[in-house]
Amino acid sequence: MARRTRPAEWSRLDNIAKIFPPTTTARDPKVFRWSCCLYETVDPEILQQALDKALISFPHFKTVLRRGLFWYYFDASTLPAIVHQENLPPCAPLYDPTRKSLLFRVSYWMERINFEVYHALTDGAGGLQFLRLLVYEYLLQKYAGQFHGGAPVLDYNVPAGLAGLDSFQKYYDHLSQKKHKRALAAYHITGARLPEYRLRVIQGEMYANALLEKAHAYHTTITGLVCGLLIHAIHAEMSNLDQKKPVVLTVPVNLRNYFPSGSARNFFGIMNLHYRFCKREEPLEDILDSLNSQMREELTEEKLSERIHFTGWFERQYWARFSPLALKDIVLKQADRISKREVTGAVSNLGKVSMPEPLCQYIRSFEVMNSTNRVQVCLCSFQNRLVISFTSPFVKTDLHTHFFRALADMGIPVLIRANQPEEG
Amino acid sequence: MRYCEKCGLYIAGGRERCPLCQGALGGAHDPFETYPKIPSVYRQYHIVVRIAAFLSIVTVIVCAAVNYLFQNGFWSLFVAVAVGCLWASLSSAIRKRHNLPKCILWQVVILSGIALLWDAISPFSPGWSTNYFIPGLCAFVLPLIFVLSKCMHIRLEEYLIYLVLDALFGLIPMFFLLTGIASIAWPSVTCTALGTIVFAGLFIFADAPLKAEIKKRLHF
Ligand SMILES: [Zn+2]
Repeated sequence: MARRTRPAEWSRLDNIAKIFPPTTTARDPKVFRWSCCLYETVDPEILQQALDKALISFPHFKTVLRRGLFWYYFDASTLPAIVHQENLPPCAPLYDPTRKSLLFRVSYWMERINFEVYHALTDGAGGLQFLRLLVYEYLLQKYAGQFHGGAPVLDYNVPAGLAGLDSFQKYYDHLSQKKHKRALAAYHITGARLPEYRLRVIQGEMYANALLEKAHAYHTTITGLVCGLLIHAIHAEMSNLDQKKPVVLTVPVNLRNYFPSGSARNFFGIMNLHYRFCKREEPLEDILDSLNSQMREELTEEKLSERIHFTGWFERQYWARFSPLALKDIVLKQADRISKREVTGAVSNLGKVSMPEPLCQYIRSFEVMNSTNRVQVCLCSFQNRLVISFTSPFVKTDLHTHFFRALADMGIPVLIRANQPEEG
Repeated sequence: MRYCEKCGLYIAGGRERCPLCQGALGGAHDPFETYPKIPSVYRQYHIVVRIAAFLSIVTVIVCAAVNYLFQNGFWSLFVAVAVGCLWASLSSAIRKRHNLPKCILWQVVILSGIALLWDAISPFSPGWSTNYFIPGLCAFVLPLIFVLSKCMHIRLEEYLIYLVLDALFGLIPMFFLLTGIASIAWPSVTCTALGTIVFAGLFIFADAPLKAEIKKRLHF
């Protein structure tokens, strides 16, 4: 064998990521999408060059997911990452156990650059860092001659070594084990689903300051207001019998804001917000008051550290570590099924996206969405443009209609963008 | 940008109806769609697999019915087991078709299992599976994985583990021989010798990748 083979690099999955491979299904492929809308049609060739450059800073993205005897692991891959025109439904599956493929894809549609990634590889905040770098490299390339005072600097420059670090290993001492309380089964939205496990995406674009003003008028935050509006919209769908069950929204919290870390891997905690209806007509104010007090209680450092995913505990049990992967898959699938029973939907606020000042004139907005088999609302803002992306696998649009009409009724102008999942 | 009076919302894209309430829209068209229309995908082989499954079931039922009417033994049971074995092998092959070395290794395991089963239930020359079939299959597959992987330019790291597992599997016939389950020596000895040679070759020529692969696969 004359060919010299360099021992390939590999890495473990971080603690949250361990839950994703066994629970990935066609219905819920655990893929999320970050998009950036520009003011001009995207040039595929420049985008490809930008992608190649961005991947130098994120070498751990060039991996495939493989099964070992005890755990999944990321194995370095030489598969090429090619940009292509958007030709799949949003958040289409990325991880297929039977074939090796990269766990992310970069596509473009008209003026939009899409970056879709498998959740085991990174979380929302980590994914955003990659898209920011991608857009940064794209604009730098495209407008190379325009920056007279030297190229602008992107504030988040991940050292190639640090981006792949698992922050949970570092902070585990601080993060005590979560005691799993058994909660009641939550209300679940039902109805006919779209064919081929497609996702319905309805996005509303609005002015961030208009929404923030409304949130302040209700004495809450943007996250609080969106959760409240979603619960209110879900309530409109519920029958009297359904009202016995609580509506529970999962809200992921970016732990980087509480525990410093530059990692591009998964690093988030979960808080569950409950609401139980007592009467047929529940005013929005009551819902928001209840959510406010719950959020105040949950968003403390001690509470958050309790909320760390139980897989941290799982990994430290010897019986679990040494049981074969096939057995772990069954256990984790079951645990996931139980925890899903307690959840109606999810709201994820990824906050403000920033870009270097000289590049902002070329960027219209950023958007984020997540695959789901319930309902999921993701939002983020760029400058004064805030985009709320509503994803669901259902044929009906009543929930979306109720949600966005409520915003319009508050006097906030909303621009709707929707995909057409039934057609084709 | 268009406007839906009923919802009070502005709608982007070139559509005629509101995506929320399906009402008619006022205002001017946008020149382009916000999302591409995605054609439905029909899975390849889908209908072929379904026809094959249907024919298999028809075969089993017809055989059972004929067997019952003529009351001549229990031969239809053998047909049913044979169809089951065929599907076990075929479905594994279809599922793992994207990873050829893995697909071949799984066929070794499944076919060995099927051979043991048939050896046990059929009255003809007992012991053929442990004496000839399993050692022969293991010995045949070792060079097969190597040659096919070379021809298809599969990287050493990708097929290494399957070569190792097949060589390990090839030690089982020796166990058959030593415990007296197998009575004919030469196939088992040949198979085990070949497996050991492959091990030695891997240790000498692919020491570093082999160790790295084992470390990756067995980390805990
Ligand atoms: Zn409408």
